[in-house]
Amino acid sequence: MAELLCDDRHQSNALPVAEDVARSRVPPLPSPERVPHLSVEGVTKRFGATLAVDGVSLALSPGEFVTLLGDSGCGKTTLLRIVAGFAQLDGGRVIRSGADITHLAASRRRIGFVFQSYALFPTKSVAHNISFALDVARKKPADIRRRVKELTELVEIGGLTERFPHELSGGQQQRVALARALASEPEILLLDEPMSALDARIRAKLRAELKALIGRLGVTTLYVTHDQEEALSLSDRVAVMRGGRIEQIGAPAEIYHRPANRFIAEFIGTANLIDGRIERHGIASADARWPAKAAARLAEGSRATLLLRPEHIELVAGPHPDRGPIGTVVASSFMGAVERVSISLASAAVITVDRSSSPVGLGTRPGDVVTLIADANRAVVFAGDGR
Amino acid sequence: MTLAFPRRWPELVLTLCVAVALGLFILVPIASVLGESFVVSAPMTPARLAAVTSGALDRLPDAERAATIQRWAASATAHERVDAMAAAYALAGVRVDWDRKAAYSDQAEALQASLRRLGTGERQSIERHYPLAVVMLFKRVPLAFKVRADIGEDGFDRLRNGTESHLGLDQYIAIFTDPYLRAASINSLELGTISSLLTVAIALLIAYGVHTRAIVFPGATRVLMLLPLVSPPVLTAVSILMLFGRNGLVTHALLDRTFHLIDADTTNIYGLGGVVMAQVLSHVPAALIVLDDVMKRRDGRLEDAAFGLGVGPFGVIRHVTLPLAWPGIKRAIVLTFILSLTDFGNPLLIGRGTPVLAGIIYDQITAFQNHALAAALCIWFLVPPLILYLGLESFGRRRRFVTAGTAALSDTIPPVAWRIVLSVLAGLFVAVTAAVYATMLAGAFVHTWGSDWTPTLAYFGFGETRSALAGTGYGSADYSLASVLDSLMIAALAGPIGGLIAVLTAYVAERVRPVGADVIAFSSLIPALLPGIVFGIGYIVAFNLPFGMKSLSLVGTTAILVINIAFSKLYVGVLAARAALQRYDAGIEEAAESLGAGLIDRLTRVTLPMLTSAVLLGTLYVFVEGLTTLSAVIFLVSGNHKLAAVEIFNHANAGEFGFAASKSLILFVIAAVAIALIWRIERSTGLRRSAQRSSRRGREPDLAAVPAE
Repeated sequence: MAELLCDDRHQSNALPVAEDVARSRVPPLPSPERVPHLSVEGVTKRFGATLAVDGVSLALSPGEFVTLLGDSGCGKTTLLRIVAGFAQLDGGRVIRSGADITHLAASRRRIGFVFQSYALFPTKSVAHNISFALDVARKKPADIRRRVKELTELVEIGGLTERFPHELSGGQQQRVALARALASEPEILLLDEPMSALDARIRAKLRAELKALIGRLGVTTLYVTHDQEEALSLSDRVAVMRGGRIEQIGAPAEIYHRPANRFIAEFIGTANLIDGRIERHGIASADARWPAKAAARLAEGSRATLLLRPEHIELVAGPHPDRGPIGTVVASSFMGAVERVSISLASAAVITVDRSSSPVGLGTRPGDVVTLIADANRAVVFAGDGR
Repeated sequence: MTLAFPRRWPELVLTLCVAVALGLFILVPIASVLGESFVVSAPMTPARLAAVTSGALDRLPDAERAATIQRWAASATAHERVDAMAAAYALAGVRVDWDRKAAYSDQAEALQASLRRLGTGERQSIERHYPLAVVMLFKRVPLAFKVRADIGEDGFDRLRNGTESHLGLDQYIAIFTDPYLRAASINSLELGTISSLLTVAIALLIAYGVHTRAIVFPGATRVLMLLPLVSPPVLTAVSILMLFGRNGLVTHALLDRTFHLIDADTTNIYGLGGVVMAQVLSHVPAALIVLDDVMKRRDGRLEDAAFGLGVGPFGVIRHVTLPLAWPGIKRAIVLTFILSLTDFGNPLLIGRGTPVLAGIIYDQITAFQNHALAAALCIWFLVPPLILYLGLESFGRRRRFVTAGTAALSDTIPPVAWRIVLSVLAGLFVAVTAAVYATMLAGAFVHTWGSDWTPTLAYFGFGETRSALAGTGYGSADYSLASVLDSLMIAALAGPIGGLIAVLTAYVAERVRPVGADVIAFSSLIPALLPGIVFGIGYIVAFNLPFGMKSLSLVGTTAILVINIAFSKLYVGVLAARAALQRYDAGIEEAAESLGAGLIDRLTRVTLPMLTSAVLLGTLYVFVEGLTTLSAVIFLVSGNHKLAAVEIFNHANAGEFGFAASKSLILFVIAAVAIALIWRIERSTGLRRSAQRSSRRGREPDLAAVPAE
């Protein structure tokens, strides 16, 4: 898990953070007087004794791309299926443009859905898969042909129209599934882990294409994934789910840099979490004093948890007790853009730090004594243990 | 749960339709058999009979009543007067003091003497009861017809028969108390035991021989062995009679007339031995399919390992092959035992002198209309196989094993001596089977089997059948080929209906998944688990007077045949469609739904096209069943709707072998074509499945067949 998080964090580090932060200020947060394009209100769903979705409310503005992010079993797919009309809810409402569609049949919701498994019709060719919604709506054959042509060009599968699903690669199937969902020009698109069946290289490429395509079409999108990299890179807003509830919803940068609690902090990226007590200008832990601007809003002496992202700590060789906590390097690994260093403090707590890598090799060796200088502006402080 | 989803009403309607169809045409008939088996019909007591009669008399108009009673009382003969007076004594509560078993003339005198001895009050009471006694004993039938409209069908039957039914176990106990039934049950058990053991032994040897490649031409042997599966039901019995009967080719023409060795009229195949022979020949294929499956999955490497450990061939069979095949052997024994027990065609044709229960059931229904006894005997049929099954299950229960998923053939071929013995045995069996079919073929084209071997096409409608072939038999059977057309029509109707209902049932069970989905799926399997004869009787009992309404009666219609055939083989299509649906992603239907397709669009555009092969399989199995089944439909045919399979049975019963053979031949050819289609479909779906698997593994699929853009 630690490895995975390192990896993910590393890639999210490659995000143009500043740009994202900038964009997140512009974005289409639903203002009270504007009617959301799609919203769920207090949606609850039980499977036997388990509460799969626990009173979730969420609103999407027109054209907004929102991702439900969470581990399997957190209720994200169930919520998506409720919006699509595949699953029945035990409480709450689903509203589209102000109209209650909670009890509308899925076939009449005009919401596009892309399945994790793609669920292409095995007995139909690519062209007939794509034209299905138009065939069912009994559109004119000429219109259908034109639309299929448009869509195949849009998703770049022009040469494959006469093939059958089992003759396509995973990436091609995904494009067909997307084209099929878009055929009847739905204003809302739901995607259920559409990338999970693809291997990593194709995934990155398709992600970029998908983002561009959806941006161009301006369709309101609700996307489900357990892949934080996908969530952060695609979305206008990310809703992190746990145990059937939304733990935090916000722009990707906000989620990453201002996690609402310890769970989010640990779930997204790599987190150094340090328990301590609030003092003037920072937090005192068992080992050291950590400067943090955010500490000022909490009462001095109260228990608190400090979050420091690995890239928010600088390393200085040698012990400098006046500048920051001192530790010993226990491990260090080259990860491409950065070098990841694990540092053991006096209390045996291990802090992870990222520093820019250099062509001459690792700048630190196990056993080196270093001083940690944390960025007091970036440090996040949770009251208590942050749960 | 479904009810809480108002917007799923199309699914709800579909589920209800499927549930009602299965309930009505599978569960109700079987429940009816069970219910009917407890009905005991017994004569009423004189007091009860008097009450029922006087109740009926009250329905007559007042003026007519007195006159009618008087006329009927006066019309009584001397004998009737004696019986009626005795009944009047009983109604008046006076003891009959003369010998009721004496001659009527003596009784008449004794009656007068008895009356003279009685007091005035008693005498008047008897005289008063006398007219009612006459009516209730001798005029019940005309009375019943007079008041039929007023007392309803039940009241009519009760009055006419003078019997009343109540619930009881009498029909079940009859099998122990009635000597004829007792003897027949012992015969049935004896026949079942001998026949199933012989069948399984032969099938096991052949299956072993085929799969170890110990016999010559293993593939051809297997195909020939499986032929009887598509044969009309009593074909084997007919051929055996044509070969070894009183006019048989071997017994009559060869041994009797040519070599004068035996008298074919006394020395022939009729009897238990003949029935066993016919059953073994007809049931080996069923046992072979079960054992074939076990042998196919048998892992030859285990046998090689045993040989490698220095175990001899007998040791390998005893310690490796047989234990591994035991589950299959067990199933085959139970299956053939049930088949033998419930088979009435062979015993009725060949074993008339040795009554068996299945034959008695047939007689009880067709000749005596005693549905209650037939129903109870049917229920009894379930007991011995169940005991046998439980017994065999507990035997060797501790041994549990899983063989490797990929079975390899053993490289060790059994010793030469075995191969010779197995080959000869299989060869013999194949020869007999071939003889059965050759006999059918020949019999269809000769003038009179056993005496006039002139070739003719008369049995196929070319030429004057009736006059030209006069004297070949008797009876009321249909001499034209109309019944073959009827059979074809009914099978062709039942096939698609069965295929479609099967797929809808599977869809409800796999995709709609309402509360009780498993019950729905299981109901469709019930006809596979019960003897066909039970299913047939269930239809008569249930649909003779459904809900007591004559207008709803299905008995005697084409519909009852079509429905019975469709539902008795529904499970093949249900199983095939469920397997297919389980293979496909459930998201496919949801995808269609989100693309705007309602239930009908989803079914017709997405689901049914995916299930084409399941629909076809279900259709063809029902179709073949419609052509070849006898056990259920024989009770359901009527004067208007004959089935060729039933006609063949009647022809054979009447000794009209030419008609039996020609009709069998036509049915056999059509059924064989249908089965060939089934095999093709099963093979092609197998291919497609493997293609899907390979593409799912990410291997580049073969695109050679795909037209390039």
